[in-house]
Amino acid sequence: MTTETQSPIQTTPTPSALLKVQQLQGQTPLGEPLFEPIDWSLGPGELWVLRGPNGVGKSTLLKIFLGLHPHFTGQWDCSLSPSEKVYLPQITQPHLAWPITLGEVLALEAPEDSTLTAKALELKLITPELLKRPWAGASGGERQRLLLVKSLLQPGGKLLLLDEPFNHLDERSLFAAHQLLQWQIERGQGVAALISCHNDWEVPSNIHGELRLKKVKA
Amino acid sequence: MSDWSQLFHLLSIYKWTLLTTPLLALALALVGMHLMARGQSLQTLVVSQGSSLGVLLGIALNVLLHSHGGDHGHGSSHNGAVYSSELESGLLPLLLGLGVAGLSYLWSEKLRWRQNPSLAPASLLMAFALLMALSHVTASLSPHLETHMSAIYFGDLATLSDREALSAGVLSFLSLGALFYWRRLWLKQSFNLAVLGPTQIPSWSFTLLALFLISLSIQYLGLLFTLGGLFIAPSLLARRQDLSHQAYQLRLTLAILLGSTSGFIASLLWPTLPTAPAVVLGVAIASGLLLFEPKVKKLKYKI
Repeated sequence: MTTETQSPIQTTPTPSALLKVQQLQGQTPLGEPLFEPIDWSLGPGELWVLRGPNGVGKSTLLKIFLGLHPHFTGQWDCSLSPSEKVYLPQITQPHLAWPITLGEVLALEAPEDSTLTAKALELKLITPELLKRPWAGASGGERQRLLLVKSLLQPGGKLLLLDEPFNHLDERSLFAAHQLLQWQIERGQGVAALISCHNDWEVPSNIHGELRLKKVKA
Repeated sequence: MSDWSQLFHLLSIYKWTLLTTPLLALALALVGMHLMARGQSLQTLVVSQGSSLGVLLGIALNVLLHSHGGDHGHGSSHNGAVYSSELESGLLPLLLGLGVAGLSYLWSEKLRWRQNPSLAPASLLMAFALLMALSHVTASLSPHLETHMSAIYFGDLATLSDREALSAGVLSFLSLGALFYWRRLWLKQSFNLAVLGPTQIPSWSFTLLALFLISLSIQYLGLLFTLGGLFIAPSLLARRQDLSHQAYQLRLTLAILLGSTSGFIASLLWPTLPTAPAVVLGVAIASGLLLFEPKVKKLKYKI
């Protein structure tokens, strides 16, 4: 079921919500309001898309939920510990000081969830050849695919906060990424996700709703 | 005595230093590898200078305590060299070195994350210059301290006593154990900090180990050895971006073991060659050599 909601959103908060916000409004470090206040909640097993124009504060909202951006008014409440929140920011600095292969990057996460890795391989989001490639020689899209799988593999991750995770992906990889994300959400492990996107074609087909941020009128 | 027997004689005298040098250099290089990825190289300069100041203050306090102790002082019955060595190797310089390094770390963290990030490098260099000035002012308090100042900067492996070399060796070995035990966690943190940015607070365990190793190395082997150990092999070998991380770490280990041992032995063979610079240059040469690998031409047979 897909529900599109406009801000401010009036939804009945789920009793077991992982994340609840009331009249939340992000601000710049100088105290200027970014978006109209929002009321919203996210329950386990839900996949929401965060949308809005450039500069409205989508990344800022994700950072507020991580406790990395202290400039806001209103309230937000999260029942999860910091280690249960998984954050994939927009990658602006892809360079690493030392060499490492993409497979070694993936192995940095606990390798217990071999099912997810197998699914990612089955969907061809990652391939054995890709895992042998050095980080420095991989393209932006290849790195993004790997980082998405790495995020989903993070042990104990219950809330996925993904900031434009489909950047640089070609059509086939985008389809595989959507499938893997939805497979992970629907596995029944109570994982929920809020992902920011810009374009309609980036939005997965089976989402619970869209959280649209509106710019504050000057 | 022949040259060889003279060398073996020297090696038997410096056996503990010969063992400790590569162990400490390897621990430093593995820490430097993480610092490099975490964007903390410049910050390390501040922390190292802070540690140097702390060690100097510790020696100054030792001098003060011993001079007040008069004839009953701990070092008063020894000759000058032993007395000097005891002043440097005591627990007080290490603790003060660690303490001031910790304070410098907190200060430099503030400077790194100030609102305008483009100011961070200049601010860190400012902190380094201020700490350096403070170190020189401290050293000028007594002519005795000025001698130690030079040792703290350039170090001298040959003057380490067996007790100092052994204790530094054991501590380096334990540090290597910690680096091995937490290798995956710390590597993951370094990767995330480098690529994803400062979105997660890294564990304090790595920072504490880095501060401890830097302070230990500055007290016993000097600033040159410390900075050389931390960054020469990790940064030179990182030019091979086509390697796997495992292959990179293997080369790093080989470069440190071969370079530091051969550098130290070279300084024994040529007594005018200063020990710490010889080790640093040895590591640089070994790292340079390990950048290359012989290309074996594959023979093609036509059947």
